[in-house]
Amino acid sequence: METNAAANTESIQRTRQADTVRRSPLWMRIKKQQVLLWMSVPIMLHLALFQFVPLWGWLMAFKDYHIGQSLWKADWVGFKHFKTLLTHDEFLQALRNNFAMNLMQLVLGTLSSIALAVVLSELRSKSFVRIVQTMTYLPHFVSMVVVANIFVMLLSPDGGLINDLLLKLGWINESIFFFGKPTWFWVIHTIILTWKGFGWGAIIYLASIAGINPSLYDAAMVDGANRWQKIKYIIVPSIMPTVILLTILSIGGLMTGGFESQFLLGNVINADYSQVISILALRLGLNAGDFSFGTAVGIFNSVVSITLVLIVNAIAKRYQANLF
Amino acid sequence: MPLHRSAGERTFDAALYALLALAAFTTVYPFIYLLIISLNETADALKGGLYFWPRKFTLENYAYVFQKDTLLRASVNSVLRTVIQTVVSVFACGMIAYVLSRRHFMLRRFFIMMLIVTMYVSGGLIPTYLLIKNLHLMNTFAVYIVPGLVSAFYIFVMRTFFEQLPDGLVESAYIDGANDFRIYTQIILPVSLPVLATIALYVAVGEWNSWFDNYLYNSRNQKLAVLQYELQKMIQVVESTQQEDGSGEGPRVISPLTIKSTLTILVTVPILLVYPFLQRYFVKGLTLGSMKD
Amino acid sequence: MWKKKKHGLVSVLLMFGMIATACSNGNNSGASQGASPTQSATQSASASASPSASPSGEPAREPFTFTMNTDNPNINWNNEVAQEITKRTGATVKWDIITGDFREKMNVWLAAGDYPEVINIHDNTLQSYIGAKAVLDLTDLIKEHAPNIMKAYNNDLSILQQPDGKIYGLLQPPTQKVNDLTQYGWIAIQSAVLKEAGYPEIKTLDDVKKVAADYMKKNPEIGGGKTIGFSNYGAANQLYNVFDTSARSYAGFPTTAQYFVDDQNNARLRFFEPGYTDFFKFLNQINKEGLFDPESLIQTQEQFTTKCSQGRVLVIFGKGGNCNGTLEQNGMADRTYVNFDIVAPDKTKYVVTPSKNPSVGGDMWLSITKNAKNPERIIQFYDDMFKLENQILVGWGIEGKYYTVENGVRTVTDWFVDQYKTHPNTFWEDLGIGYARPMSTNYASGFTLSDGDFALYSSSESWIAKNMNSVAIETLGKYGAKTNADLMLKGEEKDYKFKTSKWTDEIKTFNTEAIAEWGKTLPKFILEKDESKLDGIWAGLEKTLKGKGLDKQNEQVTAIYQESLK
Repeated sequence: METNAAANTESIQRTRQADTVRRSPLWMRIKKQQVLLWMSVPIMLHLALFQFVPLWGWLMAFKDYHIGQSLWKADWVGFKHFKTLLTHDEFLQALRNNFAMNLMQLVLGTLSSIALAVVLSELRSKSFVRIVQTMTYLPHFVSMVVVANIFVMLLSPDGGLINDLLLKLGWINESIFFFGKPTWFWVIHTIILTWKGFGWGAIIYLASIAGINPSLYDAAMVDGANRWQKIKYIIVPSIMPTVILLTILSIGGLMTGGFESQFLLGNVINADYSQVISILALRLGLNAGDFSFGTAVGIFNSVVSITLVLIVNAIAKRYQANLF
Repeated sequence: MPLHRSAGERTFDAALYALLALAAFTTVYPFIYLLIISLNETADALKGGLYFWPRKFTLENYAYVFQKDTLLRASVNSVLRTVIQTVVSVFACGMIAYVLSRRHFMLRRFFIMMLIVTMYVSGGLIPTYLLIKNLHLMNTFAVYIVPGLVSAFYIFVMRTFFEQLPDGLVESAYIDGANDFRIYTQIILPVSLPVLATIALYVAVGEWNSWFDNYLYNSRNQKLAVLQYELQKMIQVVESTQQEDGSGEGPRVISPLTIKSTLTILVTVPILLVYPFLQRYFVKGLTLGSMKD
Repeated sequence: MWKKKKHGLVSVLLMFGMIATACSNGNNSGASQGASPTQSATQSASASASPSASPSGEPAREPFTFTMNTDNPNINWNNEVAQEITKRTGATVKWDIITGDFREKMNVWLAAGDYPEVINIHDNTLQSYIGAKAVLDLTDLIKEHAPNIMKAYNNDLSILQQPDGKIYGLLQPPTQKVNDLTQYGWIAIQSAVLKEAGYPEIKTLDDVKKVAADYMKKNPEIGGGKTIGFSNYGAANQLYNVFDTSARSYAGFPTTAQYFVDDQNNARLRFFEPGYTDFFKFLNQINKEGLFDPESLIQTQEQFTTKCSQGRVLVIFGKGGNCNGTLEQNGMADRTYVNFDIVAPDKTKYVVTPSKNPSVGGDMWLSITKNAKNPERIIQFYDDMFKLENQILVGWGIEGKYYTVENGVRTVTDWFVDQYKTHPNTFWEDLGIGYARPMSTNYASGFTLSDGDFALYSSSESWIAKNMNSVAIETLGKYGAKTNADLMLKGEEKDYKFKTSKWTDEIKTFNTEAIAEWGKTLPKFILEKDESKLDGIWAGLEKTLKGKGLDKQNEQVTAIYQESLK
């Protein structure tokens, strides 16, 4: 048990501990950490099997591969399929749309989820909290197809509820064709997605808040902290690690994420603002070497995402908020 | 807890309650809407204008769905895969998360990098299919559980939670001579109920809603069909019927609109029931109450 | 406190034991991998069937089962027609149902060799199967075992041949004559509107506009909602379908894919042919007058159906979209639609001579795969199905019940029509008349069998007549017609022989791009307030497409077309 005890003392001084461990010989470390290794290595191998073995398929991106053919025999085409995507004249526009919508969604979505979680944790009526919590996360379960349909109906210039309301209030004189205004698309899209996801997103923050050590609250009460101070000094710091984690991971998808919502809400009128990379890719891959092109798009997405995560993590490291 | 709150605070609270009630109404409304459509006659529902009450009440949409004799078995399969995967996956993800929260662990950085990569890469449909086939997982129940055993995202969420636990918790266990697995199962898990409940909810919802693995790997064994797959079939039937008779020129007893509404209601209600059970784990201060340090 | 040190490890092992058990369970049930329960059943069944049945031996074929793909989850082998097929041919089909993306699953199957014994397959997917040698060459099989198939193709199988000279699939055989009664014009007007106007002559778009505008003035609201002049659904890929069909029809262009073919046999993308934008200019005009529903450009079929089912849409243009069934059910039969065919005053309508052959590249193939245990027996089955009496069976069902023969003409029974009206969703599967495609009979509408009568019930006069409501009959009567087909303009027939099956990937990619650009330009064109800018907007599209290689693609398509004429 001495070893464990030693590890214990070490871990209290976190900064030095890594060096200490590194100095001991490999077999010693393996022996010391054998339980941790047993706990993780098999599952990680399992994960590698299902996640990494199929990556041989990436070869397709560099070949003209037709299904059923032997992949080894297919002709090498280098970066042809990447070029098809990257040199398309709408590529940059699609990238911009991706970036703008994902960023807006990330900011508004995160803030609204946090706000909901904080407010719910502060309200006194627990039954009210429970009901609201259950109700706000409902839209997560409604498929995007249905959600898109509902919003298109609500915003329709032909008797849509929103237009009717605005007309009755006298705020407008003529129905607004919401989905016919290209530059409004980003905002409408962001609001819809936020509405769909904020309740579901709040759950993770509620869990973080629930995990706060009650002694902190007791101490705060003794110090005479008011509600704002409690939120500022106890709740927010305690959910920060989760916020940072989720933000870093979402930034990975900033340039490439998104498809279904844009596909369902977008239309020919707002295409210049609604077309994202995956929609463009779908259009380009519809005919030709499908699988090769599709794989190339996938690789492009992966490379961009991982690069972004590494960059953000490096930046976060300066503030000691890094993921790894 | 303070006994009196100022008038300002009370007004503020009232405003909050009102705002939340409004938000809750907007989020619950789509369900009400789907429910109304599912309870309305098809041809009449197509006329729209249904907002708060069915115009021509009927149960024919539900009757149409329930006449399928495959649904019972599919429901059992769905429940089974959901329950099993939730238990196994939460435990497995938590275990990795615990290991990665040990800062001195030798493979920590390597594993974290590996997990990050898994989040953003995919070998694609065909290579994955061939892998599943070569592992002899085709047409088995195991294909619902094994490939998606752990997910990097869940692991990261849990790790973040574990890292926020007081250091003393693990340290004192080490001093008592406990090994890491024991610490994980007997100390970490019991104090991490909120995050376990969160991940359990994530996994359960994901499992309950999935049907792609059924379509891809288990389509030749009807006994293994899951609920979402059976419902997908129904939607496909209704939609193809519409095409065959020339874009909806023919009579309609069931339309995609009503059938989708009915199915959304039917498939969502069971999983919604899970949440209230998990909610009690989100109560503030429940977890560490026993071990104030 | 922590005495049982090993306990932790044991639990870890236990847990993995659990997973391992799950895996090995998987192994057991997946041992027959590829041979699912479906297929093993097949194996035993086909094992008992000997291939000895001679082609000359009439009926009483030995029992035999094979697997086949289908995208219809409700399809079964329990109905009267199926039983009759089994009785006549000995065959039972085990359906391998694809729920979800059909082509994707076909590709996955191909990659893994998991396809069923017989496949019903799109042309481009078949090319992959041929490339992978997954489908059998049927040339000799047909010659040796299938006299009826030979006869159906008039002993000439060349139409089925692939470029390598081999035959990898069957299509429905050629017909004697085509008489398509199911055709209908591209502009549909509510019966109520025509009635109100006193059934005036409908020859030009201005005639249509006049009746609609007059009606709208008198009835600004219908059923509590705003009256809509012209509408249809154009969300996503429907936009091209609806709007291009209208523009093409109005300009009188033939249905030769996206291209116009001139008298010198030069093919050009039709977007810039004179007259193509006339219909769009009309829409631009009526949009300013409030007769056009701008949501047409973006709404989904569901949204449009709502408007249409409320009876608020006076005129529908393009193909599809009429909601007559729903209107009838909601007691608004007076608002059901009648279709007219209109061509611009200075234009001639050109019609592609209806082909008596199947559409190679367009129709789905029936192929026998490498996984077939007994290809001879399967080809024998299809040979049986090519006999006249069996073609009637799959196209019409059971004589006396589904149809009767009146004055030598097959006529659907009232019972049959009633089944359709009361069970529209399970009609095909329950009655077993959804087998036309997988059993390969003549299924193009208007095709006839060797006895001169229609191949499919749905092409027949009796079916069309019995499905029409009294209002439609009355309205059509006022225009001297019995069906919508009677209101079609005759036009000038020309045998274009235009095929898209030889198009290169480059042409296909260009066409997709062209349609995407077209789709972005169209709303700007129709919604533009200043009429003088219209031609400029369209010229902008031409410039964009020239930048993407319009001239080159026109040349390529022309070259391929002229080659096929030789």
